[in-house]
Amino acid sequence: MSAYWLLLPLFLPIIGGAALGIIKPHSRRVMEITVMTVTLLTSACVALILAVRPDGEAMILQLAESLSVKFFLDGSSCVFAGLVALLWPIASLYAIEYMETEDHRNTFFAYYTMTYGITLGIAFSANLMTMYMFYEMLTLVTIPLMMHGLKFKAVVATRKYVRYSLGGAAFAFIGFIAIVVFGETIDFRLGGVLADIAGKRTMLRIVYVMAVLGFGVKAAVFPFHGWLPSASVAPTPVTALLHAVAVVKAGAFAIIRITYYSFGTTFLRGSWAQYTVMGFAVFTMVYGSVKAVKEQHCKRRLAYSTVSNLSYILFAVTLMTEAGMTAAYAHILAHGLMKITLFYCIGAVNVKAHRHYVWEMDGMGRRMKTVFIVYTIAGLSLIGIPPMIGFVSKWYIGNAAVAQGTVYSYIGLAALILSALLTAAYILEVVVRAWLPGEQATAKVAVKLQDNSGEQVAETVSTENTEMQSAQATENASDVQSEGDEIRPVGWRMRLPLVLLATIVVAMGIWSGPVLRFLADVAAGLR
Amino acid sequence: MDFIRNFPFFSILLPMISGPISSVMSGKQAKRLNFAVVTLSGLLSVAAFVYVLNTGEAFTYRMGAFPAPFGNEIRVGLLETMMAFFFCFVMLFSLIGGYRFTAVDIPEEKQNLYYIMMNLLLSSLLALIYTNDMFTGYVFIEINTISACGLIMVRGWGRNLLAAIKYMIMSLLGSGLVLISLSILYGITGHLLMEPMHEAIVQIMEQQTYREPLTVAVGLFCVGIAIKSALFPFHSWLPDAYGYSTCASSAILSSLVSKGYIFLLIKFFYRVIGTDIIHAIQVDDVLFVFGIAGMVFGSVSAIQQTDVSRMIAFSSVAQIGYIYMGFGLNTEAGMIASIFHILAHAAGKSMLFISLNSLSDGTWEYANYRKLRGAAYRHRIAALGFAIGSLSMVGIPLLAGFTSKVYYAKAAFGVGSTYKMLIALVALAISTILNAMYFIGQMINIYTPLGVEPEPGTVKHSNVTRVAVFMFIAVNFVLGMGSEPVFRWIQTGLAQFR
Repeated sequence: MSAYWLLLPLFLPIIGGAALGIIKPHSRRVMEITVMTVTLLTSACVALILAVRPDGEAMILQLAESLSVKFFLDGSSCVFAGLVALLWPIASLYAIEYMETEDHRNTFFAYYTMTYGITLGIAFSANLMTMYMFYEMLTLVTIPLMMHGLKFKAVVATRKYVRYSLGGAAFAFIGFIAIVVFGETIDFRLGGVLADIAGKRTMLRIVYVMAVLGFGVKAAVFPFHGWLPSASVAPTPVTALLHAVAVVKAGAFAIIRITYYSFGTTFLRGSWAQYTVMGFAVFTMVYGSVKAVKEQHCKRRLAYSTVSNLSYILFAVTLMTEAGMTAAYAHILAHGLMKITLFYCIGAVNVKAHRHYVWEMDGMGRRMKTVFIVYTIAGLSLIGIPPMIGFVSKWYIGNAAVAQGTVYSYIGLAALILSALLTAAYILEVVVRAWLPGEQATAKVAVKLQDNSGEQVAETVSTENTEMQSAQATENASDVQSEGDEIRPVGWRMRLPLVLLATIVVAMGIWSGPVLRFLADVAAGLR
Repeated sequence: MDFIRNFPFFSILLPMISGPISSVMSGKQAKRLNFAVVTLSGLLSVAAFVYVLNTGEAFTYRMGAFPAPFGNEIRVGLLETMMAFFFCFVMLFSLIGGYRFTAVDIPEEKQNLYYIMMNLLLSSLLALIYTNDMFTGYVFIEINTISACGLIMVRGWGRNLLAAIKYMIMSLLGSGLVLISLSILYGITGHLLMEPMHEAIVQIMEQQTYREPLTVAVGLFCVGIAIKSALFPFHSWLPDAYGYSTCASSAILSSLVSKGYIFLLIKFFYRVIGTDIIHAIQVDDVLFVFGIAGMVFGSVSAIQQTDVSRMIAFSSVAQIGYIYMGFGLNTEAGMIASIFHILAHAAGKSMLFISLNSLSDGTWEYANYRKLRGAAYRHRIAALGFAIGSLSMVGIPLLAGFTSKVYYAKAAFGVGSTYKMLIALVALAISTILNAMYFIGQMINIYTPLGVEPEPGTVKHSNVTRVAVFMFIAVNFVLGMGSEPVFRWIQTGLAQFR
């Protein structure tokens, strides 16, 4: 099988999405079927390609001397592409039901589908040039998705995201050019490509830190994480798939690529650069969890949890050992699955019951059973309770940290445990509130509004108002708005993704052996 | 002597003669003549370019065949012909793209005057590119200034007159400095032709006589050109001049006029002074600092603008900063990056101005960013042009701006001093962030649907504008994806300068 087959799953969604955006079918049914067909076909292609493993490279463009756009499939591509291909059809199905009542659905799904192709482009990139190109494109293609609501908040959040993200890429660009100038090649090679660096070590390490922090913007490393919580104003399918999986994992994936495949761990291990980057990751682990505990808006709470969990991945990456890389990939997979599930549960509550804040979840468990059973499973997994997948990945990160055995890695391990405790706090609060019989949510809101001061109140009120207005506009006014307490039933297109994801979370936790062996092989360069 | 060797000279002479001829023509005829002349000059430049490419070496063309110390010469190399062609191309499509607005903005009876100025501008630009004689260079700097003033002023509104006066004062100050510098250089070298001047200067540096006057002269020349090309602290005239002129004028002023001066500066560095001496008297470090400052402060000023045409104008200040930063690196790679950036910037900026004018109907009140919200749905092609131009300025891969950023970063890594290297790299990154802040913000603004049908514009959109925008989009992609030959030509052209 020639490597050019990689172009098929890459361009299929891009072309399909573009066609959808240009033609704009009037019938909703046609649009939905097109989206699902394209997405499923693409995932099938990816599955086939992962099974067959084509060799070689597919070169499509030569920009300038040594800057070429080409694709290949190595172990790392398999992991990322596999995760994305698994989640995208599920996410599209969910999105179709979620977006039922929204306007501009054609445009939304056009870009949603195109994003799939571009994310695969990052996975299949054979060199830094290609990865950088798709990385920038990912930023641009997700702009319309984030702006979807076209409310002022959405526009502000989008602008923030674009500035952060393009700014990060600008610093990552420095690292990219450093590899162009000082590397033997810009292709990805496990172990690194740097050659002839005598006398330039310090400078290259500075550049490496800049590049990691640059790519780290998408992976929401501490001083640059601000865009992620703001981004939760986007519709849940976007927050869940892009801001828990595709976009943020692209950042983590890019950091793995430049650390293990471009700069090389032998050059970095034991240097100040490693510990600097690790410091950022360790701090963010705790910081994200603390902020999550403080946050009362459910989606933003999960966003902060993502900030913290992404740094678990980065901490594993910065251990710069084979075990670290295995653990990083394990957590990329695990966190992707768990966090998308959690977001989907909260999204279902948002859209069906119009509840957004933690205190509004009182007693919701019995009224939306499936949703909260799934939430509980995924939540427990995120805390790291066996036998779910979250436990497995955390176990591997811990093991890798202990195997490293330096002071820094033990500090990281302590941060990991602390963060796990905090995770339990912010996840279990919702679970407990949902399952234990509670007061009427509306009464609670009033109390909370009195208690809180300043911005939060204003924010709460405005969110409530806008939600109500939009609900009024889109719904038959009588059935939802009478008490603000009506819950619409959750349809099969939401239920199925939730149940599927929960099953995967548990199943992969129990039978984690084959996957982890595969990841270990990838880290060792055997696959 | 091959007849083709006359072509560069013809391409200068042709617009110069057709300028006065236009004065007795009607506006329409003058326009046709001008388009024909620009096209023809472009074709002549292409022919010369192919000729130089085939022979592989530059040649000197003597006017009237007088030998060296007396006669006036032009010099034709790969880089000159390439630039000449590119300038003609950009000018032609800027005129085409702005034609609708030219017809509206300029009174019928003044139209032929506009095209006289345009002809003179082209003639002076080509002369600045080809000249081998510093004094000829000075003369055409003045012609360039006068004609540029005409282009700014022609719309005849109060703001234009004010902008033209500002431009005139600053620009004449610049010319004055250049003239003083040339007088000093003539005094200490006794020559005005580039090669003999260079030989004399090398001797001066060896003997250590007149070292201070030389430094002063180089400094004055750089400052003069810097004022005229709006390097950071001297950019105050630029936003009014670029922002309020008619569409074609803005496009041409921003993409070509300042670049003509900069090209003369490149020749001055390479052919008159020599890059080693520039380094020895540390002019490069000064330019580097001001270039970096321009990159940052130009963009910061651009962010503060509410008027989008002024925003684009301020972004030119930043882009000029890039070019001087490349000079400041003072390596071959840096110079190549700067020359490539001249091309990339010209292709992007003229497209931005044409697109913006199409979006805003060429009026000032509509160039305000609030009025521009949702404008993309009024004129889709122009919006596409604006988007591509913005993305190119930000440096998104596949577009011209990305390639020049790559060349700059590579050049920065090639610099000996680590500090200079890191400063250049970080400035590049910060400037990219700032660019993204206003360009992408504006792009989002333009594409944000209003929910209501946008008001139809007063100026009828023609296919001609669309053709121009498409041509510029194509150029942006070509420079972004096929930069390899261009890079090689610039390299060869620079090598021929020695």
